[in-house]
Amino acid sequence: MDAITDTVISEKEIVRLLREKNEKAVRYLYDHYSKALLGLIFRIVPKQEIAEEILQETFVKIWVNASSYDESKGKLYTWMLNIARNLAIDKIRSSEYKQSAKTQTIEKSVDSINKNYQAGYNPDTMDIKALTDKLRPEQKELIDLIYFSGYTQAEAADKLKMPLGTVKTRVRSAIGELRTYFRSAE
Amino acid sequence: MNVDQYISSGVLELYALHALSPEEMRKVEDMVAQNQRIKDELDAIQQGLIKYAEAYAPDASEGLYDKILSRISELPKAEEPAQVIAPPIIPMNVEKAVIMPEKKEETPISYSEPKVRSMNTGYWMAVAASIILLLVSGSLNLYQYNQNNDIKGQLVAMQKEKDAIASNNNTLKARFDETASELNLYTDPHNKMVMMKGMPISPASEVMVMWNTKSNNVFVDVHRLPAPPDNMQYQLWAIDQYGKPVDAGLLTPLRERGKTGMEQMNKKIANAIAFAITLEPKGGSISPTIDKMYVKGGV
Repeated sequence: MDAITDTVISEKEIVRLLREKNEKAVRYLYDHYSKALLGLIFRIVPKQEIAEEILQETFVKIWVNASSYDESKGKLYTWMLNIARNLAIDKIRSSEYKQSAKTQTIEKSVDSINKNYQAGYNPDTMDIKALTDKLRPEQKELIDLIYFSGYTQAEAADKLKMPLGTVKTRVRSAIGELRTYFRSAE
Repeated sequence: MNVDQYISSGVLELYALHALSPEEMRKVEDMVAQNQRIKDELDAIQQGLIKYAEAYAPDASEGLYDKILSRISELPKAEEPAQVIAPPIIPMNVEKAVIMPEKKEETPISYSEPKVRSMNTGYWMAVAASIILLLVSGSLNLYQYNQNNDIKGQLVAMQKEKDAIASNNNTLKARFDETASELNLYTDPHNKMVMMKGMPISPASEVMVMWNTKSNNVFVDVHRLPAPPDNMQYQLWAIDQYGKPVDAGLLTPLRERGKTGMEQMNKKIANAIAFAITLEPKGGSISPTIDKMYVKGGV
């Protein structure tokens, strides 16, 4: 991928460009975040064609709604992630999608994609097996619930029947593992 | 709380995952704004999460970026709030759009509440839909019930009609059979028809006898006779060539016969030159009471 914007631009600057409807902002966001967004969408909607459609929608929404992004309420990536996740969740809840796939819930979808990945994942991007081996199952479950399915801390605690404090420490340790893993992979 | 403690608390990770309450989010924002180490830590956490999501991404199709760019360039350049039905500031945790991906042109985007709320909306819509279905099904049931009753009523009416027709049919058949057998009586060349006329005690009386000279069966057809007293009964007599009356049987009282028309007598007559009917005590007599002779006719 030939990134036009190799230089590090501050998030503030990106948001400014985006609000000015400067297409450079789209290039930058695409280069830096599209893969992660597609990964998230694909975890919810495990069909590449549909996942890519949702990614397009996500960028259209980011473009159109740039003015409604509030820096004081979270990072730009988190904002885009929410847009992508909501679009993906809407998609799998739509009757049209339910007809085409038998996937009923986000949890199931995320679960089934986990299994799919064990079988045949494109190995040239990332060794997902090694990554998931790095995380303990309960760490992975918790991270996936919050990150991919969009649960709040309290909802996750409720679902997994653990105290809020445990959610906090477990999330921290899980992300710690991820950081260690990706540092060593670089 | 010092910086190290803060970093190791796990709150930054939850912030990066957007899993904190709005107040908690604000507190983190404050800390990040105040301390560069905390900001760096948060960036590192976010990088870790981005890498993790990227690990799941399939290889993007050729030209995906161009598609996105062309869709964006189709949109109006200037900020046109009319395109977007949205409040000026949407907290990102409640930001949620519903876009039908198939649509080529950009339609106004409608905003709904966050995930949990939208599930509630879905739930209430489902409840509303259920109630509507229930009402529809209920009124259909009522309609069906009424329809059913109507049909039941019609069925009963038709059954009655059918019964009436059947009984009418039976009556007609019986009458037809009677008529047919009567007709046989008239057309049979062996049958002799004897019209017995009223005697002086009852001049208006008239009874017809049909006598078959081959089978020796005797039929009577009472045209007119006074109703007999309860203890009396009409008796038919055949008078042979010697002038001797022979018992030809008792007439069933008219009201017991329930009909007019031919009645076959239970006696057979071989020889007769005349027939007569007398009124006798119930059960009949061995010889006729001559002064109680009502009708008489010669063969």
